[in-house]
Amino acid sequence: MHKNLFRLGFAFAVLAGTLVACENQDVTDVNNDAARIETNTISPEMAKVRDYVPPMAVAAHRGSTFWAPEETEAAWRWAREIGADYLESDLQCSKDGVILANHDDNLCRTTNIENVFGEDVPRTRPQWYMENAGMTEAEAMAQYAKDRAAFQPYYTNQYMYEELLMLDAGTWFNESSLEMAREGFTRNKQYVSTLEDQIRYAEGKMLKRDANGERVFTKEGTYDPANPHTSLKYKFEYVDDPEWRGNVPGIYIEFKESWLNPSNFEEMVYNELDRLGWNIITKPCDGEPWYKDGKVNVGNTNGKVILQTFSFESLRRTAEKFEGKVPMCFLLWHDNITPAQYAGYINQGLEFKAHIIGPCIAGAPNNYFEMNAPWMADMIRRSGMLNHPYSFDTLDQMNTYFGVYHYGAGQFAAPYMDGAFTNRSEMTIQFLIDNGARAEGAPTTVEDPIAVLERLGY
Amino acid sequence: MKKYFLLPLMALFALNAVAQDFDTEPVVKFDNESENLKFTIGARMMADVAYYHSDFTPLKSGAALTDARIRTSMTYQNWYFFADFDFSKGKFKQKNIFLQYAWDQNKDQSNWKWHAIKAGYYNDPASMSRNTSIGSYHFISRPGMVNALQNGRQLGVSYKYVDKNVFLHQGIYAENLYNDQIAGFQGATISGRWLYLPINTETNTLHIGVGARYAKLKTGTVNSNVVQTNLNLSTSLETYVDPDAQFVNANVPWASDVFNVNVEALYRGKKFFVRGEYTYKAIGKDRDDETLFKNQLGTLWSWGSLESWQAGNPLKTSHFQGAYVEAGFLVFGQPYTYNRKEALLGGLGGKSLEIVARYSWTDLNDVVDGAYYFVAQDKYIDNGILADYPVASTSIGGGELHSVTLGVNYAINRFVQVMVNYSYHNLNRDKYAYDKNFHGVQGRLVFSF
Repeated sequence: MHKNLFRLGFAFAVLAGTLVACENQDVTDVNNDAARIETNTISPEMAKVRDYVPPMAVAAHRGSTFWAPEETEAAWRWAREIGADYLESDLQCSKDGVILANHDDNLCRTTNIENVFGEDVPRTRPQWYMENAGMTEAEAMAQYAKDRAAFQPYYTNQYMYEELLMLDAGTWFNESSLEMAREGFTRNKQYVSTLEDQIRYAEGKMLKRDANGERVFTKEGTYDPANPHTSLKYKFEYVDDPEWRGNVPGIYIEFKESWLNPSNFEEMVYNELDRLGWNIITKPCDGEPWYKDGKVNVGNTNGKVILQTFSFESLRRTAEKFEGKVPMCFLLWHDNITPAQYAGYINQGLEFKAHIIGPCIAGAPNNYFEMNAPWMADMIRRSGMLNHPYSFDTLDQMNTYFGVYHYGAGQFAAPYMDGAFTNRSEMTIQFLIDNGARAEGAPTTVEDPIAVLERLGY
Repeated sequence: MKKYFLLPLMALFALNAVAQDFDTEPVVKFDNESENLKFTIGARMMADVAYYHSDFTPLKSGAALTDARIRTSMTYQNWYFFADFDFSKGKFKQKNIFLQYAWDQNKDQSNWKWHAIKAGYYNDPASMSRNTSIGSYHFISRPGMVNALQNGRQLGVSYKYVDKNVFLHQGIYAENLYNDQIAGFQGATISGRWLYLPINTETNTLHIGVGARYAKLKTGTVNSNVVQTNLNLSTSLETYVDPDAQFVNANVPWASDVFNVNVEALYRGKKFFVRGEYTYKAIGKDRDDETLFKNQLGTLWSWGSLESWQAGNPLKTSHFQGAYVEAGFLVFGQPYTYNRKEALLGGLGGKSLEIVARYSWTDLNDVVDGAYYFVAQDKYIDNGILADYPVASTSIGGGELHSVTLGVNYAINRFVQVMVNYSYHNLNRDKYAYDKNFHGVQGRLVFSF
């Protein structure tokens, strides 16, 4: 009897010993967890589109938030001349269907709207209806009353584009960034930008202005409140920028939160890119190099447009409309994330035809969540996607995520980035040059950033 | 890892321990026959050691004092009082405390009948497993499905009727033991267990039957004049050393009407037993939509009408289920016993050795067909279409667990028992996509008097 019991006990001991011998983890270790998680991987077809994007691409975040008023002519001309690969922006839509490049959902921070319109519908609106919608005064007043009833003050999508033209998008910068203030940002009136503006700046152009310094444009069609986004068309005019020295950057455009824009906004952008000759699905640019004659040439390649979004809804709609044929970045914002959750984002990005993950990075001055730790960057790399972290402001951040500080301690190979959204394009480009990380043929020098502003007339 | 070799050593030590005499009488007993009064006092200790192996998320292997209990009872004429208290983990916890008045009809005759009225704090009557003391259990833990879906102790009163072929127990209970809810009335529960015994002899018992329970939940937290009820269902991986219930866990907000239906069967022979239960749970919801709608008014993000708010925040009844089968074979020792008045299998009595096996299935997944699960945010989108502000999901992905346990129990005498269990668990839960397989080897030393 005791013999049998001994055998039984021995069997359990062997079982326990076998389990102990198996690979197991005593405590949660995110580095090990991340290494053990297999994400999905990018398909060969998607990888082909991913490779439209130049290595270590420098995206000028809103043009620059440091040197000039963001997402304006001044910021994007500067970014183009400093040598950024992409001019970055955020897309919204005016009430009458103009696709805008503007970051905040409301205009209070970056314009003087509170002083110009206050909380009410612009009082010029009835007159605008009579001139652009063919309404009688009574009809215009009735429509005005409807607008007032549904009005959400300061939200960009509540205003006609001509109303937005009344706003000053440059002077606020001088008031909030005293050390970077330049009289030229006021003298050369900065407007709430359009997507077309951004593209034309990338092409080496600037706004055509009249004798009073106001931008020149014409309109076609009659505004129809039942069909507000397509009934009236603006025709903007541009001139060759005399200060253009040959760089043609691409554009890196973000679809904002879905509720800000029309439900067919991705389709509107698709068509607008088509109209402006920047839709590579309908007008491919095969064979063009990213850099040509020592100048940025990304804007003439198949990588000329990168789409991006935080919005899950926009991610889905972009996948439906663009079918993964234009490089797409899925932006991440999540505190205290686990490897399994991180893999979930990557897999979701791949499922909805994204080629790039855009994680936020830690560090002053923004102090965002850390979403680009070495284990995170390693998961992105293993998926075959590109990693474009946002947004760089300091050399310290560059050193960290490029791996100069040996941040990953050897477990995960540096660098922890394949590109960067940066507010200091001059700093990021110089860093990459110094570390031999710019692609062959890219400019090898960076002009002084203040000299560029002065050369551009600011 | 050094602590893990204790498990087989403990088992071997127990198997070689010197046997003690079997004693059926309480150790500490005061018996006053002239007053027809009896008082007992006892205690119980359980020490567990466990080693776990998981695919991804670690569990905490180690040892723990999982039960340290003092019990007392008093019998006077037809009255019986019982109370026990737990001090494990250094914390006082009230366990059973009840008073029972019982009487026999036709005592010592073939048409014997027994009645009892019981009041106090004790186990919900609707299930077999919950009413079986863990001290008499043939496994280290109750099945996961019992932990998740069946109910434990509650405060109330019940009536019990037992005869040769029938067991009936039904009662009414309060929702909250101490009436310490922040506001509002307590809810109430009615519950019962009804069995038929086609075989009922000294050595063989077969019972089959059903249990049912209805609970009206009313207590909860109060936010902006709205009482929010909530029901959490969960189970550990059938273990006490790491009692974390993170893997199988369903939170059910706005729970209001909770229905349990239970089917059970048990066969007990001298050297063999098999028993099992199936439980189905439906949880109806209730919510003060009008107040919640009014509370959210006043911002740009507000829903414009009650109907639109309700459409964006739908409620639906949740459904969960589970089952288990347990079997045991007595290698040697005192035959298996059956407690007629409780309709429960007894524990090992005296020096015995048994081999046991169990399969348990717990299903806390109630996910709408076609729902999209977004693992990064642990969120379901019921219509399957990725959106920034989807209609609030009615899906609950609490996890589905299949568990198989094999065990050996050795009672050295009526006071000391050693248990060894090996368990394999297979988990299916969207939230834990990388955790599929869990293994656990557990040992327990029980001392009870």
